Amino acid sequence: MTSQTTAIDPVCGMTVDPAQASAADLGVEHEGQTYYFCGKGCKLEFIDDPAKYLSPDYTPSMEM
Amino acid sequence: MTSSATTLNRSDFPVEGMTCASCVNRIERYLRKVDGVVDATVNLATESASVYYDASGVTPADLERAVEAAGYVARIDQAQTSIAAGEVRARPSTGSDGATTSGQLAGMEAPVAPAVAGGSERSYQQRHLEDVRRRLIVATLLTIPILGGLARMTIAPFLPALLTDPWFQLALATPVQFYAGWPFYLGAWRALKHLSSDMNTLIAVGTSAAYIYSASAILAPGFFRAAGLATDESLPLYFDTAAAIITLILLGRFLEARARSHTSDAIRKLIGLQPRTARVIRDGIERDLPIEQVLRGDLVVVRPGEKVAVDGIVREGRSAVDESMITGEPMPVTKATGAEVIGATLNTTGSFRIEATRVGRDTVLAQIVRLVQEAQGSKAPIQRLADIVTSYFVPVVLVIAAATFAVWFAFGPQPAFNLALLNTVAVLIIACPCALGLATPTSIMVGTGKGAENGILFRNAEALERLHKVGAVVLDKTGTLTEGKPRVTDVLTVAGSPAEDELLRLVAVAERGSQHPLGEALVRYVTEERGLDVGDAESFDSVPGEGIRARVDGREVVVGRAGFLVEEAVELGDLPAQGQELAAAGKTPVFVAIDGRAAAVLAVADTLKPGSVTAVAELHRLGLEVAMLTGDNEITARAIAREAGVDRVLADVRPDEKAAQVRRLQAEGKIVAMVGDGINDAPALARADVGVAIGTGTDVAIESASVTLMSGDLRALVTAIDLSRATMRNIKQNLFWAFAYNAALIPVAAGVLYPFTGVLLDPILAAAAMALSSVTVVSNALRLRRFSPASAASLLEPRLQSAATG
Repeated sequence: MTSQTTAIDPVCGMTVDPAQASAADLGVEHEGQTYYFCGKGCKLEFIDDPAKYLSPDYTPSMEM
Repeated sequence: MTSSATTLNRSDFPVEGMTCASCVNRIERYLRKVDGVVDATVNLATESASVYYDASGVTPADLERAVEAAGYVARIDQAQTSIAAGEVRARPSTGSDGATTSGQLAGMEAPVAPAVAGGSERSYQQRHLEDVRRRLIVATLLTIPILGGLARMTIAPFLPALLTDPWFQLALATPVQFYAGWPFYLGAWRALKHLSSDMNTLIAVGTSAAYIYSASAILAPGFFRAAGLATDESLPLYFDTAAAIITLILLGRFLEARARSHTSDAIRKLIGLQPRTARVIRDGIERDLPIEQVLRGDLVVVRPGEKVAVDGIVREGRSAVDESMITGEPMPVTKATGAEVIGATLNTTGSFRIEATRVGRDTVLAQIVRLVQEAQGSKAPIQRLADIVTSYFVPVVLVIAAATFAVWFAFGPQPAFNLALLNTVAVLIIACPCALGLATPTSIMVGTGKGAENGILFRNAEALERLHKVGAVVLDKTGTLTEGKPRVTDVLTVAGSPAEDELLRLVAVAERGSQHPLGEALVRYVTEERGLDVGDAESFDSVPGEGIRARVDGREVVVGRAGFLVEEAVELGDLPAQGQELAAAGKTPVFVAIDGRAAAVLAVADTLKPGSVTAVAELHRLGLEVAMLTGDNEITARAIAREAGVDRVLADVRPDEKAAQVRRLQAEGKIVAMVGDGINDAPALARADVGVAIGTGTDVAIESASVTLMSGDLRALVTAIDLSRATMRNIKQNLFWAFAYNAALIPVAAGVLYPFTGVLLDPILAAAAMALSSVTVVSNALRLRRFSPASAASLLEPRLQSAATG
């Protein structure tokens, strides 16, 4: 029962399933948009500094 | 940089909750911020952290708090702490949180093998394996008597009556169901929280149905009689079914876990390559030290027959070193002063001293291990497909199971309830796609490990999969097909020009300021082979891609392409014709004019690597189209291409145009692999479907490449493609076997054959079939371990030939 649409984790670039992510409390709302994360780490990184990860200069990667 | 001798502790503990590599970085950052922590390394694959800290200032509880602050759980109660003795050189970190320091330590992370810093370490894998084994043993011991009861009722009536006593069976079945079978409940629950179902759901539901029914029959028999569901005095029990299913499925899981630890053999072998001690010279004293204590900059002695301890540069002495365990290159490589050596390689008969350049987790070996581990944990696209199929499969099976129950209960012969129950359980069990989850990962692990053994590093499973579909290979000429060291081969002077030596000296002085490889080759030739002194030019001017102009000893010197000289108003006479001849021989002609008059044409050639011709032939044998990419002129390029056997030539390509050329080929509908040196060709490698970096051995983690050939030999590409195809074949075989069992037997389990042949699938047999399919898949995946490079024979041939003729 996984959904067909996918989302991209803005921090690490991994593809996540929004349904599973929101079920696991890995979705965050920011300025009207909901973002989904692969795990707690990326979610917390995002919450710490949303502007950094949403800036067009930021390339999602796993190196920080 | 301060250096202090401190006693450090090292703590290894599991960390839970990580999902991707950025979690790793986050946790490492938080740990390093703790005052007194010198270094922290977190491993995603093993879900553990290794922290080096000053015991006088830091407690494990501090580490736990740091991990929690990062948002994760540290199982500090399971920490293994040991003393990491030795000197620590503290260096400031380069992060924006400038307050942290991290130490430069020797000693490698060994997540699967015993830790090098003393004390043993059990990885997550080991713990999982032991956990499954424990449950399996318990389940087996308890299930046998239960099955004894079944035997007594059917084939062996002489067995003790206790075995069929319902309470006895209940007593044995309960721990099997809830202790041994606990992982299935846990898995089903986790899936349920995400509103999905997986194989654990199937097993949990199936075995619970059998167990609950049987338990109820003992504890509340009246209910069944009253409902008219039972006709006998004693109700049949199905504890044997539930218990046997759990035991058999656990057996499958145990074999899977064991196979996983075997497939890490490649990594364990790699780690085992590292020697335990090194002979270090410090303050004039030569002594043996544990390898963790070797520091960057130390002078290390390597004696005959010894393994090189760490990465370094030869400072004294000379020998031949066998690098096959790292690069896959079987012939020993000569190392003299200034040469780089790799830790864990084997010295042959000479001896030498090196200055250590990389130690501990920075060594090439450590990088390879990390790379392979990450690749082994990664998902291949085909696996994602299998996952999607599974996610639809399970709900469908649940529906079929429900339908089976309904049909049998409503229309089936007596005892309807029992038969319905049995068949439903059989359907649930036989449909379990356990092997499906195994099919791909096991092969991937074996495949990437095999690659590493042969000096081929796949960055991830996707690279391993993509390589098998490649239809065209683009080879960068310089450094891939050719040695990358151009040499001057011909000097053709014009009558009336200065004497050859003088002419060459002028050219060399002029080219001294040039960064161009051709210019460097000219200078090398003049200084090394002609032994002439080369001074400085009075003036120098270069036109990129065309030539240079310089004033040497009052004379005007022009060196470059024919067209460049013409533009400089030089009459070339018949020099261009001579140049064409040289080009047709695969050399690059370079024209020289002194004081406005044509003086000579020089030829510079870059020889093909020994394996190139064979490699191209083998690539053709594999059915691939081979193209060559070069900045050389058309004629020279074609000559070299002819010699190498290449199909297509893309000449006069400027470095920034390479990626576009790759795209052109892709536009023709081909899957393109690009082979280059990883540094200059980075954009083109990134653009290709599979980027292959042909390394020199020490540059392991080439970011832009999906595949790295550590031996620098193009023939390794052939091996890589062979391996990729073999692995994909293996995966497809596995997927077939994993699925075939299920698909074929579901109808049988549902009772489709019953009306015709009276054949039903006993749930126990269903579980046995599932275990068998797991075994089949795992065994087949391990077959891949027998892969060996087909061209191993041809790797030796050319060298034997040259030994005979040379």
